[in-house]
Amino acid sequence: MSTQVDDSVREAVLELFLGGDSSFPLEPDMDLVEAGICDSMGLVQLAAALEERFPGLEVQDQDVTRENMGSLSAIAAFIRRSGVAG
Amino acid sequence: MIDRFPQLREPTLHRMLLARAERDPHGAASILVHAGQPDSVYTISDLLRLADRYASVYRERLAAGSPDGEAAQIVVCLYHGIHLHAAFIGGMLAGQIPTMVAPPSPRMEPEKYARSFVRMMEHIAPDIVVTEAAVLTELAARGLRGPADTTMLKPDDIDAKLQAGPVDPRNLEYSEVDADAVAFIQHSSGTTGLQKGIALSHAAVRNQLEAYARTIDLRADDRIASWLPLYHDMGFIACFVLPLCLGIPVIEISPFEWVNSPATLLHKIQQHRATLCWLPNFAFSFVARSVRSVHMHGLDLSSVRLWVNCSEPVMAESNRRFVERFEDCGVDAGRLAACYAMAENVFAVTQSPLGQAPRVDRVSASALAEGRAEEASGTATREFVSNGKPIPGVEVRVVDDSGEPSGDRRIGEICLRGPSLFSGYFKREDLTTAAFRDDWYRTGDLGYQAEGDLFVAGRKKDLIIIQGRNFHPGDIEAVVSEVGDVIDGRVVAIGRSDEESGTESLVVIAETEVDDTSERGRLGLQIRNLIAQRLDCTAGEVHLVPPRWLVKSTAGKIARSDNRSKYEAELRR
Repeated sequence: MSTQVDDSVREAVLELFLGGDSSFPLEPDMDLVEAGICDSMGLVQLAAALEERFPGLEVQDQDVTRENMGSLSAIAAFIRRSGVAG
Repeated sequence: MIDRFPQLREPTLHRMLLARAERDPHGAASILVHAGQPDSVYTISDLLRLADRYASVYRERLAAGSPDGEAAQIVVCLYHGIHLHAAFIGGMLAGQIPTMVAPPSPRMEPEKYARSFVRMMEHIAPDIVVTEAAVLTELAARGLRGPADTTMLKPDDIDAKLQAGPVDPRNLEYSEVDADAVAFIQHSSGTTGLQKGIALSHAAVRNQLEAYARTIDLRADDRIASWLPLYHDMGFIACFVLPLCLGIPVIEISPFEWVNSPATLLHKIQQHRATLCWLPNFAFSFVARSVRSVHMHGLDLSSVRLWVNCSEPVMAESNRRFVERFEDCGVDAGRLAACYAMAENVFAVTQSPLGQAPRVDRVSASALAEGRAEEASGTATREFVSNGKPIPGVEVRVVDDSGEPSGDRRIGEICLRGPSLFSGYFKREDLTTAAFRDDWYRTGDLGYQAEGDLFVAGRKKDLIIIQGRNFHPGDIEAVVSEVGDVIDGRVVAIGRSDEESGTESLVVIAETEVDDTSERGRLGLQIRNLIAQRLDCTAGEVHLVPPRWLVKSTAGKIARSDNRSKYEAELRR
C-alpha cells in the first residue's frame, strides 16, 4: 500500500526528471541511475528537492548514495528512518 | 606580465616548468582533495621528480622501436591524482607529445568502456598509453587490446618511491625541443565519435598563457580551486597548464567526487582561500540548486575574486541563480566573467571584463530567426550573455556564408586568428585545410558582435553539448535504432537549451508501431536505459511517435531542423 511519503517521493522524481509525466512506469525498486532516469548529479539535486518537500529533513553528503537515493523505495525508507515523516 | 611571471621568457613549456622549480622549489603545485581524507599537498619538486621517472620509462620503452625520429604520442588516461599530472609532464620532459583522454566513468559498463577505449586507441594510434590497472585488467579479461605496437603502462610500472626535498632542475634530464614543435595534443571533449587531435605548439601555448594571464590579471598569490577533468580544455589549460607553468597552486577535487558532493568545492575554496574558479554554465545552476542548508552554515566565498563561466553557452539565468544563492557568502555579479574558449585556440578567445557583471543583450526572437540580433524588450525576446572582447593578440570576426564580415548585430560564423591558434589537426591535413579560410579559423559556432562584444548564438552543425560534453546526434540515433520496437532509422536526437539545468537537454523522438500504454512505457524506459549505458548520458525527454511522424528531406534523410520545429510545435512541454 502506498503511503503519503511514497507518493510524495514519486512526485518529486517525476517532477525533477520526467517532466511530471505521471504515466511513466516508475517501479518502486527501479534503479534510477541504471534505468537512465537521472545521473548521480540528479541524485544530489533530488536530495535538495526532498529537503524542500519534507520540512525538517536534513540530508548529509554521506547520505547521498545509491543505497539511500537510488530508487523510490530506498528514498522512502531513508525518509522514514530520518523520522521526519510517517 | 613577464615581470610578474619571468617564466614567460622561456620559449617552451618544459623550460617554463624548470624555471618555476628553480625559483620556488618548495612552492605548492597541487593540493589534492580526497573525500574523508586530509588533503595531499605536492610541491613542484614532487611533481617533477615523479614526472622524471615517467620520462625515463618512456625513453626506455621508445628506444626499442623509435619511429623515424618523429616525436611519439603518449596517451594519459588516468583518474584524478599525482600520477595523472606526472605521466603528462613526463611526456613533455621526454620530448614526446602527450595527450589526456577520459578515464572510465563509474556509470558506464566496464565492457562498453573497454571497447570504446580500444576504438579510440586504434584511432589515435599512440606509441605509449598510461592507464589505470583496472582498465588493463578489463581489456585482458575480454581478450581486447589496443594497436599491436602500442606499449601499455600502468602507474604501478613506475617507481613512485621518491625522496623528499627540493628537486634540482639541473639534474633532470629533459629533451630540448623547438618552440614551434608540438607540445601536446588536445582531443575535443565528449566520449562519442572519433575525436580530432588538436596539435598545439609550445609557442601557441605560451602565447595563450601570457594573454590569458593578462586578461584575468593573474597574481602570484592567486589560488585556483577546480573539480574540472583534465581531458577537457577548460580544466586542462586554466586549471593545470597555466598554474603549473606560472607557479599558481591548484586545489583539485576529482570530477567524480564533485558530482556527488558539489558543496565540497565551496568548502575547499573557503578552507584554502581560493581566488579563481572556472566552471561550465551548468555547474552554476547545479551548485545553486543542489547545495543544501547543511552546507550553508558559515560558508564564506569572499576570497574568490573571479568566477569564470566558460565552455558552454553562458545563460544569464544560471549566473543570476548562482549570485542569488550565494550573495550572503560573498559572491556578487561583478566577480563573474563569461569566457568563449576552444581547444583550437589553446583555450580562451574572448572574455568579459573584470569587475563588472557580464553584459546581457535582449534581442527580438523574430528578427533573430532572420539572422539579425535587434535589441528589443518584452516577451518575444531572447537573452544572450556577452563573452566580452578578444584576449590580447586574438582577432575575432563574424562572417556571412560568402566569408565576408557580416556587420554589427548580424548572425554569422565566428572566425578567429592570432598567435595561439593550433598547428593543425594531428595527421589530418585535409581537416585542417577545411577548417580555415585564408588564415582565419572557422569555429563552426554562430554568433554576432555588438560594440565589439561577442555573443554566441548557436552552432552550424547539429552537435549537442550536455554539461560540456559533445554528442553527435547520429551516434545517439544509432543507439536508439537498436531498440527492437523502434522503427529502424526513424529516430531523431536534438538538444534543447534548458534554463533549469543550465545546459542542453537531450530530446529523443522515435517512431514505433507499439500503442499499448504500458508497452510504450517499457519502451521509453528501454531507450533511456540504453542511452545511459552506451553513451553515459541521461535523456531529458523521450517521445514515442507513430510511424511517419518524423519529417524527411527531399533526399530521403531525416531532417533534424524540420523535426526540431515540429517538436517545438507539437511535443515540447
